[in-house]
Amino acid sequence: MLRLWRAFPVLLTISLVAGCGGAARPGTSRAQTERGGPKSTGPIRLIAFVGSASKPPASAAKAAYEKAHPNVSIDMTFGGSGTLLQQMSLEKMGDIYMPGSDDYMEKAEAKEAVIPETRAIIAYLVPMICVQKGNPKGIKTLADLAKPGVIVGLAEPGAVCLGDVSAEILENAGLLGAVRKNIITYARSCEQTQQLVQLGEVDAVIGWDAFASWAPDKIEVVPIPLKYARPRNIPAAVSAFSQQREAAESFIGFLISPEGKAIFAKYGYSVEPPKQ
Amino acid sequence: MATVSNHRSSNGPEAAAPVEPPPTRASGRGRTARVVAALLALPLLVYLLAPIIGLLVRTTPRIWRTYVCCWEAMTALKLSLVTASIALVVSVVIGTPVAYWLSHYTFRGKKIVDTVIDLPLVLPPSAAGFALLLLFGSQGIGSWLLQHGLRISLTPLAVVMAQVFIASPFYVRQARAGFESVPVELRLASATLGAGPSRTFFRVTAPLASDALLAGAVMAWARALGEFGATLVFAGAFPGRTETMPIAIWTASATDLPVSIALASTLVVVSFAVLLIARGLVDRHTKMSLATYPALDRSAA
Repeated sequence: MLRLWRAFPVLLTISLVAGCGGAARPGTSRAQTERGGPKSTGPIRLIAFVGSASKPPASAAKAAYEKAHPNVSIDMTFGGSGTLLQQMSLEKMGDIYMPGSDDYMEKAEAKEAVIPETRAIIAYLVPMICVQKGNPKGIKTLADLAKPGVIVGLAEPGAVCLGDVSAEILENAGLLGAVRKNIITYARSCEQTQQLVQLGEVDAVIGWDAFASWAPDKIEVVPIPLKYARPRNIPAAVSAFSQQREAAESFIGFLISPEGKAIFAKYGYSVEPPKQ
Repeated sequence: MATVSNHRSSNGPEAAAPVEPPPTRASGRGRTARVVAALLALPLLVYLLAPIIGLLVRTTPRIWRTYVCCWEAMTALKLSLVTASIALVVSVVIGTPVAYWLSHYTFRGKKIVDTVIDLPLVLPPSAAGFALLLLFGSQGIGSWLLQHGLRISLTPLAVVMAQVFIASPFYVRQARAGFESVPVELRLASATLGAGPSRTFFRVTAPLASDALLAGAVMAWARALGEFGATLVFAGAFPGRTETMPIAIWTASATDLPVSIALASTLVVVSFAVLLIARGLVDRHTKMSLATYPALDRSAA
């Protein structure tokens, strides 16, 4: 047994060495991040804080942009828009902020964490009623959400932008009180709102048009008249802490170029302002 | 109880594991007791296992092939395994002295130190992440480190640090129980025979506590592997650099639930295999200990 015990430090050393070997790679990329200077001549490394719901199109856009600009690489981190804003402003780092909805951009501007004039709209978020595939409860209008037996989930007003939009729509349609008795839960994020329908927990939520393309075989959407609420959008802006503003603006420019818009459209986002 | 020590500890599944009844003669009552014990153990086992089986069942081979093979998932898995292993080594190196100190000495404020070890267990991981971010980020000592060319927050180093913060208490708890289980007479005998404190530690105390140390190490590694909240806040979710498996599962769940499920299944299968092997090693080790020092087998008494 003593022999085995003596082997323990050896095993530890082995795993430590193996570990360091493995860590060397990410470590290198960190060093590269810091080296990426403001000059556009050498390799440029941009850091983008991206709302987690936008991961698929943002990753595709990143890949396309890096392919076209071999000297640029974009490190993206994903998360809740609020957490990302905290990380970015606490750490005073990053080049691009791309939250899940425009209200976080307002907060970022208020905190002076972004450069307002670099703000651009990447995609529009159009509120829709999201129902189970095949619409088994036959929900056609907002009023149908108040029908007995329809189970409704909403994003939480105040906590998530979609919640404010939902409350605004129901209030403007004069249905807030009538629908409330059918609401069984409030979701704390857009993703969670969408999962309520996808997992079959509720019959309907008020969500974004893009939800249908996140789970095309589970969710379908029923339009809501635009007069009840103004659409929101996914914005992007250059971080106030960026030392590579030009390079960051170039990437945002790509996102709103026809090629960039095509990528977002492919993932189900409305890239043109919705028309009534 | 067959093992020297590790069933003493009160936290973790280690303590929850059903303890095998002492071997009884094949009497009718003995057999009934065995069946009843198994039946009583069943509800929790089913409750723990059913959701995981649900995940595995929903992972179709097509989804598995499409996503799990691919770069991002494999990178995340590798990053998880590497960072959790480094976090384990760090926890063992800096946790063992704490465990030894707490187990062998009494001092003023021991209860406070003891409770400090428990703090990471009660702190919500994302709050822990913000605490680490504020301390080691550019609002705290990070700005000084940054001037010297070292960035901690939002880097792979932050992943390891978050894991150590969350997982090391699991190791320290078990290790402490292990050290406490070593009969004081053996240490005294070692000292009487002329061994110094460090020789006594490495030749007597640590070997006798080794199965508890290993069990604690397994727990800490598992906890580090599953760490999510603190890592996300402190290290971010950069694919390939700080996006560990739990974070990849979470980001995928935002837009693509089937992928998220496939990733979760992969993590479950891999960690199950690793934990099983590790426990096999611990058990074999314990049997060898008992063969060497039969006097330690308390179940024989």
